[in-house]
Amino acid sequence: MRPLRYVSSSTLDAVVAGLTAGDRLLAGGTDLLPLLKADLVHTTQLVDIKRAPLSGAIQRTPGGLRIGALATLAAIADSPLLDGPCSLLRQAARQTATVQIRNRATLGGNLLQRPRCWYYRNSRSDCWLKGGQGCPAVEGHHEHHAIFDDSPCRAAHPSDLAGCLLALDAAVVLYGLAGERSVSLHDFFRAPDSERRRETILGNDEIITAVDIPALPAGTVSIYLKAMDRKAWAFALVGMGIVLHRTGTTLDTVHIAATGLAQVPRRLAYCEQALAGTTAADVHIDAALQVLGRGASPLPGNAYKLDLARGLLERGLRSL
Amino acid sequence: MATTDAQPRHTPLSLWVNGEYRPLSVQPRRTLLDALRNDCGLTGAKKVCEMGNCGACTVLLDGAAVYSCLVLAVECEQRSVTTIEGGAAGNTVGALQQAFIEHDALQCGYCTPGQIMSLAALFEREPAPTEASITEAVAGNLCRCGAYRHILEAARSLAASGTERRGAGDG
Repeated sequence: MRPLRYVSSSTLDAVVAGLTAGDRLLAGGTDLLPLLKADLVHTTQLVDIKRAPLSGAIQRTPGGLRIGALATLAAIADSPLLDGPCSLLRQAARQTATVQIRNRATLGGNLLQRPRCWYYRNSRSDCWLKGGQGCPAVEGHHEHHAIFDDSPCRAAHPSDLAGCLLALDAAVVLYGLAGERSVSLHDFFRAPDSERRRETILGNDEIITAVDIPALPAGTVSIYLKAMDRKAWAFALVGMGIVLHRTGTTLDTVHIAATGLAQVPRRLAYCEQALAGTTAADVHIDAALQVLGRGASPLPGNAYKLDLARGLLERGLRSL
Repeated sequence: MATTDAQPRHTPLSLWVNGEYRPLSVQPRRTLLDALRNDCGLTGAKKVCEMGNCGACTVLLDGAAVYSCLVLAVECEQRSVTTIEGGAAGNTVGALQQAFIEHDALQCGYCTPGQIMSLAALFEREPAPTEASITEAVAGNLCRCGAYRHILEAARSLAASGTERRGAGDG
């Protein structure tokens, strides 16, 4: 077995300098440890960032809310600050994994977790995302995979929180050798391509330090609905995050983001357009459901996800 | 990049297990589960899936339920671990063990230490938890014998006596 060093972080600058030398960062470890055990992560040094000058605090800011990258999913699920407009985040955290995982898993790690694709997780399979030739899921087992083909990789993004944060127009704060920058989640997640076989644009020398959620108008409501192949402790087949605001009876804000449908969390722009400015009457909801699959190219084994997504969207809209 | 020779293969580690000080020497790759089972001789936490799917390795780390197969031992310097071996008359783990016996809440018994530790974390926080809290607490612990119904009954019985205790205290 390859030797491994374990060190604790001292400063953020030391952490990001180490990243360029091949260090891997350890926070909750709930994804990293299985990847290490499966020999899918190769490193000679683990840097424990739980003692870094990084925060796990959830706090109000002048612009809205900030959640530190080290916030555990348990802390997010329990935070009263996330009630109201952001309540879908609490709902999503509560439905993610199990108590044992939520006690350890952090927000930063959740956003950067690697796909659950069984070909990706099998160290012996030839998988494009790992540098191989093609995606074995296309002609193989793909019932959990993406129905949009924005990438040579067909894995679906597993994070419940990522879709919710995308629906909230959140931004990640990144720190690297060049200093700090803020990137909207719309730009942070990008379907892997041949230049960059990753699901994010995070630089090799960068770390997520926080997530900023912009303030939402009073009266904004939200919901996260998750379909799993069992009632608990499963990744989403489809997860649907909805954020709405009404003026009178008219929807002036409609943000809808899905997880489980594409390689990265995806805003359902056609559905949003079908609903914006309407009263969300039956006819408008039907119109949104009809355009939900626009641009999708489901594989033979995962077209059911379209029906599932339509069902979740309809249920969510009718409940808000 | 420094070579790996710069660091000894073993790192000294001070751990508190069930209230006892346990000085150990572990490799960085060693999980908390392996350290408990192989270095401390505490085989109550079970090694089954080793990937955080089954819950048989659940222990309390500073009071919180965790999968010890997904925690590195070196992360636990000066931290407090509670395992099923910490069960005794008069404490939460011991009360749960007794409730499991009385409600026949096990068959093969392999998942039992994990089930009890998950519930112990809950009862330490909420002496009289709701049905929803109980179900949520053990949702990450599989029982392939299917003893779930009796496991929930054991937990409910302790929750009911917790309600009585709390009622008596309030009075």
